[in-house]
Amino acid sequence: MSNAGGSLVPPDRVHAGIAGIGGQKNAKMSAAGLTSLTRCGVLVLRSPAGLAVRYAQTAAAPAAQPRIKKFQVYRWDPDTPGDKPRMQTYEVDLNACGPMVLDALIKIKNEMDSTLTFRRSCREGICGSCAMNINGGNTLACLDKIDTNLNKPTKIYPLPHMYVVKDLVPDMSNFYAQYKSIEPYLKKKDESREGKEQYLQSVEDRQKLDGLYECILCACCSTSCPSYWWNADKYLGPAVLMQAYRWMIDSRDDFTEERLSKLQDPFSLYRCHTIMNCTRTCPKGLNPGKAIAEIKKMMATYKERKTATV
Amino acid sequence: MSHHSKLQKQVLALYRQLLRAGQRKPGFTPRIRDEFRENAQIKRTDVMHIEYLYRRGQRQLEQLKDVNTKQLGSFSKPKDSI
Repeated sequence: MSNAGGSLVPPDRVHAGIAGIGGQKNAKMSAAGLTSLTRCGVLVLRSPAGLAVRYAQTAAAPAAQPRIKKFQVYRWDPDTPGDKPRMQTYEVDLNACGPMVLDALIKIKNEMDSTLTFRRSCREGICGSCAMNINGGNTLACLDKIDTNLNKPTKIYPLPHMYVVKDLVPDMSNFYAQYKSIEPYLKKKDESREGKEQYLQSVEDRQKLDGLYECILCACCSTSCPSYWWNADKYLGPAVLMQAYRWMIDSRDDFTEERLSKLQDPFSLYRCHTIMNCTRTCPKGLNPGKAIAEIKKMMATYKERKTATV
Repeated sequence: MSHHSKLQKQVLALYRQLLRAGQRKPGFTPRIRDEFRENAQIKRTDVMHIEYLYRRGQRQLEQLKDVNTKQLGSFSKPKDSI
């Protein structure tokens, strides 16, 4: 109750706070002073009394038992010769650490082992840098709360089936190259109006993009897909396919047919067997599996049109 | 001399590609040579390390081939200083 700074507090709450410390003399006096003040409804800060109350309260808080949680983290440093991948265990006091796994990793790096390497940026789940495999599931470390059960260690691995650059840092170059290949930008047949004014879109057409544009390209879904594990070179993966769908159904984009024809081979799209690990693991709550199903439906009608014209 | 293994052939091909790509741009050739000479001491059996360096080399080759990459400068410790 750190409201000794003069906020309106119901008198019984003030009593409870002061009584809890066991009645030190100056605290009782300030309690009387505060209750009379709050009854009057006057927001007057009487600093000596207020400070005395605050000191009394903080001094009386009992020293909590340290809650030690074990973290088993995958470590590999290819720059040290002869190093092999291994698991290293760190112990963190949860009382001195933020609630998320990223807080624990930063604490480990700051205080225990500064060689621990991982990507991070926004700490709020919007950049997608800290994607890693925590306790078997791919999530963002900054959004995953530490499991407070002290009996089980938290296991942290890099994203599965990705080449590792160091410790928890995966090599994302293949993923980015696949994203580049679908041409994730607006393409128009008639470029003469470009830059002059906004391309308008109805409210219904804009609602079609909801659930697709929020993708932060963290690669959690693609690296959770077994099909992507076995065919990462040719299968595009749920993240990239969802973005391909986002551009296909954008009413402002004119190249839908060309985008569909680009996926017309046995690997780019059709390695998806609706395993649905992608939807399960998405840290933003998006549904790549559904987007891929919609692409497959569009591909069916596109194929009919193509065979009709031929 | 015994035949090169497949991995050795890949590493040599990468070396050739890197040298060719860095021919016209100043500063790349000596760095490439130094890096490969230094890593030549890795044992044949340490495949994991070799593959890691091979992937790293391929990424750097992509960067080198980029039209916007003009030249490379590097800091090096002089041999006689402490």
